[in-house]
Amino acid sequence: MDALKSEVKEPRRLVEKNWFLWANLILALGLIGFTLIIELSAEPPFEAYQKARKAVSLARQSQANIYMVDELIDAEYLLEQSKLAWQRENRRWRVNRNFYSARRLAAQCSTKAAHAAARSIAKRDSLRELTQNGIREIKAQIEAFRPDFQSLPLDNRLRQKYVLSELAIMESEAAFKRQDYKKAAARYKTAADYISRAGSEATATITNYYSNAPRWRQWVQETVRWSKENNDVAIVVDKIDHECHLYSNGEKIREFNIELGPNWIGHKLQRGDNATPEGCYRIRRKKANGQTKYYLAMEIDYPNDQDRARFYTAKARGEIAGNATIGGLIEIHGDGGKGANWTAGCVALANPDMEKLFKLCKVGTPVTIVGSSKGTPVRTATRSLSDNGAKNVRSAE
Amino acid sequence: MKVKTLVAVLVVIFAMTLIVGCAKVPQQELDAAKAALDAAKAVEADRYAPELFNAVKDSLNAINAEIEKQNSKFALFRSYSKAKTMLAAALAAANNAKDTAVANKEKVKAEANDLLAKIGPAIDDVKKLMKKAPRGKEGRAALEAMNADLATVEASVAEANTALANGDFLTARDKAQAGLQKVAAISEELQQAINKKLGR
Repeated sequence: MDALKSEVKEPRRLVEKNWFLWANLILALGLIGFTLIIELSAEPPFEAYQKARKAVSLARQSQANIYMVDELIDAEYLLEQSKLAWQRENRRWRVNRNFYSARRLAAQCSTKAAHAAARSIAKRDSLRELTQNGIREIKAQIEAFRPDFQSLPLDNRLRQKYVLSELAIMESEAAFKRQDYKKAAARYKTAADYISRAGSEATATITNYYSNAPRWRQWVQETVRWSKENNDVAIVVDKIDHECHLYSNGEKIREFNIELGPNWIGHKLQRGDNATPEGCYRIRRKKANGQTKYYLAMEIDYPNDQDRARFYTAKARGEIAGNATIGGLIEIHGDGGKGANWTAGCVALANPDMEKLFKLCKVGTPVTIVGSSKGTPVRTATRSLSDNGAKNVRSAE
Repeated sequence: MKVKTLVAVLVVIFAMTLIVGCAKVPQQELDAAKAALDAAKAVEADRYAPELFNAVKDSLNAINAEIEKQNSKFALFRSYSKAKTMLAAALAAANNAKDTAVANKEKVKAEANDLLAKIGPAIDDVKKLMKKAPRGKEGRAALEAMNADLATVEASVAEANTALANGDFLTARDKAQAGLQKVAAISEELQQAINKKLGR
């Protein structure tokens, strides 16, 4: 019975053994196949991608997003393309994967980003230095220009440019403090533009005006000589200094403050231009209180022959309207002391001063009106500084 | 008995293969992190919290690399647990960048508003001071010039208000600060003239 049982168990054991062998064989083959597939598969571009990513990160830390925008955008685009190429290959059967393109794009990205980082740092440092120097220089120009502006009768348009340059340089300094050098450079450039334009326009205006200085000097000398030779009084009006000088026997005996028309720089050319004429005149008529609305007045013989010649030449050249008239009734009168240039071209004195002058002068007294009796040459420091500033702006760009 | 054991082992291996092999890309978390970055960008985190914003951008790139690294592996060995951890940190960092940017922006806005609020009264004070200023020959002309300067400052203040309304708070603050400085300079100039007149 036992022998029979053992004969029955023998084939079953045999079957179990075979089955176990087969299972092991399949498992072994599977493992070998799996190992082969893993070994034959291409290595993913992880390292290359990480390198590229770190390079882009470094470029951003170097503010390439501000100073090398296009290069950073290119680098980020290459990184994205590298990732997409990697993704594309991951979707393929392992043995068919090829990460060459992803790796190449990552390498290109690394190069581009490293370049952007280096250039960005260089550009930022350079811009910081240029802006720092530029701010210092423009501030110096503004300060150099300040006395000129306070003493010279420049119009509000120029003054506005001056103030705008001050505001822009303050904004530039604020941006510089928070290390926004691009903004700081932009505002400093604006300040440089304003101060340069204001400086050159002001200098041009004054330089042009002072080109008459030799003639003014000659007129003053002739008037003083006349006073001396004729042992009589003569008046010299100095527009720049806003003073009226009274000479007697060739000696200056009195100085009075005066007020002029608002457009007092330059020569009167036509009626209504609110300018005070320049030239050698004489008192034509004296008007006592009651004969003038300005307390006392002494009318001068404007226009003289030179004034008329200048007027007709300007008209012929079309510099003034065809229906313009030369004007007249230019007086030295009272009601001055208002603290502003308010007349229509006349010379106004405070009433007590006018009284004194009125008493000392008579019809025929010479009245010489000049831009400046001193002939002080205009300062040109502002303009030369402005030129340097413009050069720096170009460098910053 | 041995057959049963072998079958059990194979079933366990098969089940594990199914479980591990089914590991999915954490797309939801990835989308959430990207949305958080976009939200940070929308509040100008790149301008008001640039370092935090750049760090989040870099984190997302690192996460992409980690995900693709896992995608490159045999399905059986993929694991996105590291990517999930990184995504959770990136989401928190993006939210932090957004919150910091909003706070910084609000701070700059408040400073700009504060400065702009000070300019009006400062200009009024200068105008009051002008009434006390000397009005001699030079005085009147100087006052006229100062008035012109104030008008220029007021125009600049208007530009600052426009920048503020447009959400450009840094420009608004810079302009307001410059305007206030200029008004202070005019005031000082006036005060000196008044003191000079009073012989102080």
